[in-house]
Amino acid sequence: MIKRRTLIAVGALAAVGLGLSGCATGGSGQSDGKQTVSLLVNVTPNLTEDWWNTLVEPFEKAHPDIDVKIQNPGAEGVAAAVPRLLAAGEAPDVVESLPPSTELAPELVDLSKYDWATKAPLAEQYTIDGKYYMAGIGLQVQSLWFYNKDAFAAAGITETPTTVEELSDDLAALKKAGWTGIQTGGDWMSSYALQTVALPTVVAENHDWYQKMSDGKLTFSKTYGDSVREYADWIAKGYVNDDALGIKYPDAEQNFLAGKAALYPMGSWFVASEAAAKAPANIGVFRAPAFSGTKQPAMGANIASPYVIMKESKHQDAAAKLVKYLVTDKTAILDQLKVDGNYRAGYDYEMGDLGTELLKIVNDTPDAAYTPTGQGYGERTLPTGYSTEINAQTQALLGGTSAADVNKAMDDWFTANVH
Amino acid sequence: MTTSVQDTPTRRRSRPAASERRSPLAALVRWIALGATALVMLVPLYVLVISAFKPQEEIVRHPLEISPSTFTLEFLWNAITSSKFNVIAAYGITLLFVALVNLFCILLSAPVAYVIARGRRKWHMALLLLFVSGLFIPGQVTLIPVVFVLRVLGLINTIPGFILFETAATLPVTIFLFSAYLRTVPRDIDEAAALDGAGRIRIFWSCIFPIMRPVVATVVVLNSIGVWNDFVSPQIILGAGSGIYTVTTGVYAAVGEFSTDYTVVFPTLLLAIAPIVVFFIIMQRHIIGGLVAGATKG
Amino acid sequence: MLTDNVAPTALRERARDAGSRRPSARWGDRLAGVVMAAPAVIVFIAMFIVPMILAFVLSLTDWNGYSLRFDFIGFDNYRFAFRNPRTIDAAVFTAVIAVTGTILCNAVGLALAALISGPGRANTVLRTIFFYPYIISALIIGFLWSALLSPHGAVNGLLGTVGMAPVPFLTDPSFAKATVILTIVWAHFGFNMILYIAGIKSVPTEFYEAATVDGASRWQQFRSVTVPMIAPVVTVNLVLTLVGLLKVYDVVLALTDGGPAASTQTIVYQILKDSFAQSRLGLGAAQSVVLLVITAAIGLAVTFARRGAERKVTD
Repeated sequence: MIKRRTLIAVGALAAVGLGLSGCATGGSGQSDGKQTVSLLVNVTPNLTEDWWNTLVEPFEKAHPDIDVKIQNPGAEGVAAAVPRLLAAGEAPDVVESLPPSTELAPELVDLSKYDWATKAPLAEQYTIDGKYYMAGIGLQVQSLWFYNKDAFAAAGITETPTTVEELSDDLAALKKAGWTGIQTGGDWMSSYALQTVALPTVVAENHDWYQKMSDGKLTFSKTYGDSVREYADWIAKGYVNDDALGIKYPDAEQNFLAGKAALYPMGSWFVASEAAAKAPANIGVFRAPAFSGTKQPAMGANIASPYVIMKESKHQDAAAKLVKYLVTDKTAILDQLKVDGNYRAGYDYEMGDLGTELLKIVNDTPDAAYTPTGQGYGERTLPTGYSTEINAQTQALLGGTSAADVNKAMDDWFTANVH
Repeated sequence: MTTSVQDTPTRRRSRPAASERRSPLAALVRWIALGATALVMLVPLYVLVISAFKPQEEIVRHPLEISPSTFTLEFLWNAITSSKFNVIAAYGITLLFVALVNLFCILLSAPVAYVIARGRRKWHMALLLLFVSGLFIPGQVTLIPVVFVLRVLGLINTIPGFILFETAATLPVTIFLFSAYLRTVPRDIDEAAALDGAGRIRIFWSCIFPIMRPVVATVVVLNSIGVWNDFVSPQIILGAGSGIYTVTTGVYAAVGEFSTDYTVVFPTLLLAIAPIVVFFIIMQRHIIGGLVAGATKG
Repeated sequence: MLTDNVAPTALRERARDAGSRRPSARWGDRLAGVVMAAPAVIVFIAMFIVPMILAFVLSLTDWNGYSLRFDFIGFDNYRFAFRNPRTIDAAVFTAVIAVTGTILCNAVGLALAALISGPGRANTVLRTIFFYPYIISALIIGFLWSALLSPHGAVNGLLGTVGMAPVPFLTDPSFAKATVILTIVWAHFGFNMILYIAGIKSVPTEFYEAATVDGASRWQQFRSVTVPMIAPVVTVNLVLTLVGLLKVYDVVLALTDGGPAASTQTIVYQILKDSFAQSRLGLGAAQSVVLLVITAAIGLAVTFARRGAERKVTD
């Protein structure tokens, strides 16, 4: 009967399938004496998979017994992929762009014995309990406003703003001149604009804002509230692009590069995008100002490309060799700095005009002004889920929710999540 | 008892009588309603197909038109050769999963459904209730601890682990349908075979199973659709790091981050659904028929 | 119901004479029964029962999903879940999807089934047209409609050509909620329709004949003959749809990713996000247990409530 024949065929297929599946397990394996070190990386329009593969090639050539496998976390990103992989027992050997946190620290290899970790940029700021868990390649500054020089000229703005109030006046002038003020978007970048407005003031006024918020000693509305009100005011006045909720980061960036908006709050990696763009608008940059009267505005800065080694890794020595190469080899470092517009003292690379402008800002910023952004790092962190929540709340602002409601919602969130 | 016409099938008789009384206005309204609904169902598919062959501006500015001047195979080719998502491999893998899950599902469900259907004791009923309760347990509830169980068994991120979970997920519906069907199969066959000295297992596979064809067809259709389209289970159990993509997890990997680049979205979606839609159109009589048969038995 | 065909007496006598009902054979039969049932039972216990128990146990801990240390924190997770505005919003939205989705799917499904349950080429073609979205994965449907309804998508493009302003289908929270529900109905009603067609077709035509003789119009026949006779199918449809819609995830992930401003998150979306993206597996497990209880309760409640309606039909 047909039934029996198909059953036999399917059975044969099953046997083959199960046989094949024996070879098809994920994670690092060993074959002909070669070790495979898996590297989970952040893949972006600047940092493509091809670029990553090219970056590790010299290392693989110098170490013929080590094969580096680049892993792409897909749409969920590295931060969401790691807990899931850990839960499944399938942690990669090395993870890039994941800063260590107190939660994660027990899963990471302690790198305190390696010079290349303890002497790396921002190493001290990222320690947890005095231990070093990561090594990075440079600095990424985040509290920046990129601006369209032609827009400013058309609006009659001769000097870049040095306070939030001045920025507010400039936005009014830009609107009058017919320009869309701020370019933002509807995915993770929604909260970026708000943070660019707020952090320079909030952290300048409370140097240990992160710890105090996590301990419940400060509230969101008392510290962040003014900035939320200011941003809500700008939204109400039409200074923000009205299709924000409908577009995502790549499109928002393209819009600004094409000269369709006047201001773009973004991090230093945008310099690399501008350099790679074919015919970008005339773009400049100024550091994000604080409300007037603030002494020494804070500057959000993160480690660029931090690397951590997972404790579950079965190839910790090989992993350590790979990370050492990535953070000490001069060519590798320059490549990584250049591709994403990051900075490191003593490492000069060819940069365009925009890069040079930014470098001046970096050089003029004292070390004490640097602060974490988002959920924070090292011992300055906020409860898990903060980034997601503030992003959702900023989107609510973009949708017309009042500042008072958002401030209260964030206060409630902190109350519920602070232990 | 029917009065007038004797030999014509009664069903055909009632139809003409009914349509005679349907006024032309009612018929018109019916056709408009059906036509409008059909349009709503088909236009998205039409847009999907033509957009796979157009550049971005054309997709945005002229959504419903396709003109020879802007027709291009470039984006479709990019999707086929994309390094992110090997569509052909994904078909193969998903097809393999569908076949394996169907095989194991039937191997496991049919015997136990037979035991339940033939059983006369209380605990046979309890067994059925046990499996049917699985219908009310959402897969996502068990998914999280299942990850833990599979990890303990060493099967997480492996194909056998995934097959195990998917097969288990198909058991409730399958056993329910099988046992309901088997209850209607007369016991004469069992008894006759027992006379010849055959053991219960042999009785089942040689005599009973061959006549379960209709319900097996229904079950295969249901389970195949379910496994082919499942997203959460392969995403969590096989994991993005394993390099094994099913059609759904592959689409998510390819489209998820670039959902506003229509030259990526539409060709990928087209490649993902083209085989199933074609298969469905060819087999629709069997597929829908199988479901209808299963529904009336259930 | 249980058509239990008993072998004719002669056969049974012969069986007894042939001695094939010896004690050892009976014991063999029982062993065979166990062997036949065991694999399914083992797999089911391993993949359903054990995880369910584990879920409950985990819900009482603060496990993050990977570390070896965790503490028992009693019902804290439940307390947090019931007070957390995000969880409550997700639960409410899921309930809205389930109820309105079930009503719409069944209403449209039944209406169309009534119109095209007859024979004929046209009806068969229409059935295919209405049913096809069911065989496409929910994720793909979500991506398709996300592309069609975006501010630069086909639908807004069409509205633009007739001079209407773009509609914020996916970018305004209220619109997004309606969009999610309507997309689900679009994809799902074909399934309900098929079940109703099966039910309608199985109504014996004698009833219609009798009604015609009594002078009932088509609409009256539908109300007094068809609807009561397909009561079991209605129950099955209601339960399946209701329980199924409580688990909505794929389509929301692809269509709106829970946005904008977290307005279209469903309970399963919340569970998976809490469990994995935010490493709070204990919290995710607690929400799963609540979902399980609610699903079971609703399923049983609807089934029992419909028993009454079905009993009225049995002649």
